[in-house]
Amino acid sequence: MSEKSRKRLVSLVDALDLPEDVGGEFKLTLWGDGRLRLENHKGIISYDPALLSCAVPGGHLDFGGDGLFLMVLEPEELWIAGKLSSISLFLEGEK
Amino acid sequence: MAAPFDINRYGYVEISVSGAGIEKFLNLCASDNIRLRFVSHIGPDEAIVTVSVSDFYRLRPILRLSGCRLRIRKRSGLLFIFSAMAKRKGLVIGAFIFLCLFVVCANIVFSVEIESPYELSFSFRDQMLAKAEELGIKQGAYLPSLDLESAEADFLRSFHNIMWVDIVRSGAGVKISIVERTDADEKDIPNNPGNIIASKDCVITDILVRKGQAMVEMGEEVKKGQLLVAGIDAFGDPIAASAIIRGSVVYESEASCPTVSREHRETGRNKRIIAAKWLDDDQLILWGEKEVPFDDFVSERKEYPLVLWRKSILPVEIVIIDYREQKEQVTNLGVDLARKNAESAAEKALLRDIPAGAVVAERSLVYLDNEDADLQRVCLRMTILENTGEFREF
Repeated sequence: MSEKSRKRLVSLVDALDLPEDVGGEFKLTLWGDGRLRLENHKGIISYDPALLSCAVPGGHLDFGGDGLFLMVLEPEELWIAGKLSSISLFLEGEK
Repeated sequence: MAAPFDINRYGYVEISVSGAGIEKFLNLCASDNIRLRFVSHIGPDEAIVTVSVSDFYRLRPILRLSGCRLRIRKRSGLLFIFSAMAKRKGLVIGAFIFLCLFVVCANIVFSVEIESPYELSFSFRDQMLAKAEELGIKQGAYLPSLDLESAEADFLRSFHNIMWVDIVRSGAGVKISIVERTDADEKDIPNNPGNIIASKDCVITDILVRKGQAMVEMGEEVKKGQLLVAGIDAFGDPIAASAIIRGSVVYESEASCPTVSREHRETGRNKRIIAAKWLDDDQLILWGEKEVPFDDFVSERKEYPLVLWRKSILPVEIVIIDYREQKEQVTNLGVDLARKNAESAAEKALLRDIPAGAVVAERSLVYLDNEDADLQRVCLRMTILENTGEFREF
């Protein structure tokens, strides 16, 4: 889906008052600093126990920590466990 | 929300994936709807992945595309257990036979026990066992096939001297619990003519005359020795009176307890004196102090005669006296505790007089002293329902 189509879909979801993840937006759920769930991801960019980078619509998310591992990896969602210390969101076009 | 871990249901494989394109391998698996679990990085280009058995066979093209290699580390789950069992059919058959035998043996009667709170005669016990065998309750019988409830009814019909029977499964056996019917002992039933008189001063609460003529009514106050049931029949002939008579008897007891308790307690300091004693009671201190070393003490005296040979005793005795120091300890109990102590002492004294099996109908407590008194006295009064009739021959 192109960026233009994605923005249109987000506008439609807002107008219809639907949940944001229906419009292809990613959703991040965090349980303390030991477990998180990422829905609507677009794949793994790099994987290391200290830094795990995931592609999401419109950019990518970096998860820093210690002993990170993918507890679940499925087409629509992934679960990350370990000792999380930072979460960074990088949107396309940003430096 | 819990993570989805349903891949363990049938079987899963733990694999080690190595190669430069591990991220590519993971993404291809995700896009191909292969559900991966516990992906952990163990080296620069190596990761451990858990995958279900059904998804495992779909990994080959992905491995080829990503340029990774695979090595199986562990196989787990029911599927592998069953496949291992398939190779060891003898073990499975043996386990199944064992299970069947266990179930069958657990349901077989290995012993039949007869239990009673009273001692049963051997002949009666044999009769019971014979009846149980007749009803199918015997060694080797199959427990689920036994109808224990109808067997209980059969026992009660067959033995008139049984009052109660309970047949239950007990471990690998059957336990038959019975209670025999016991009639009143003949010697307890008076044969000679006589009356029933009051054994205590009381108020009659129940009177049930079996034989004889009642001379008192319920609610009547009677004195000790008063005639309650006359031993005569309707024609005026003398008979042995028989009746159940209960009356309410009032018991009263007084007790006291000081509000300040003074107790002599031992301090733990001891002194021993050893002396020699002659026949004329003269004492020579051999060891220890001559004077008693404590003001307040208790002493224990032991005398040992000196034996020369067998029964030849010397006229000298060795006396050992142990003095143990005491100290008076004053404790302020307070009014409430003193009254409570007095009440329990009064109750203890009353319970000595109350016969076994009596019922307490009423209980009242009166404080005889006001709260300022040093000695707290209480009066405990109990109204007891008990048998008050006593048979007395003419």
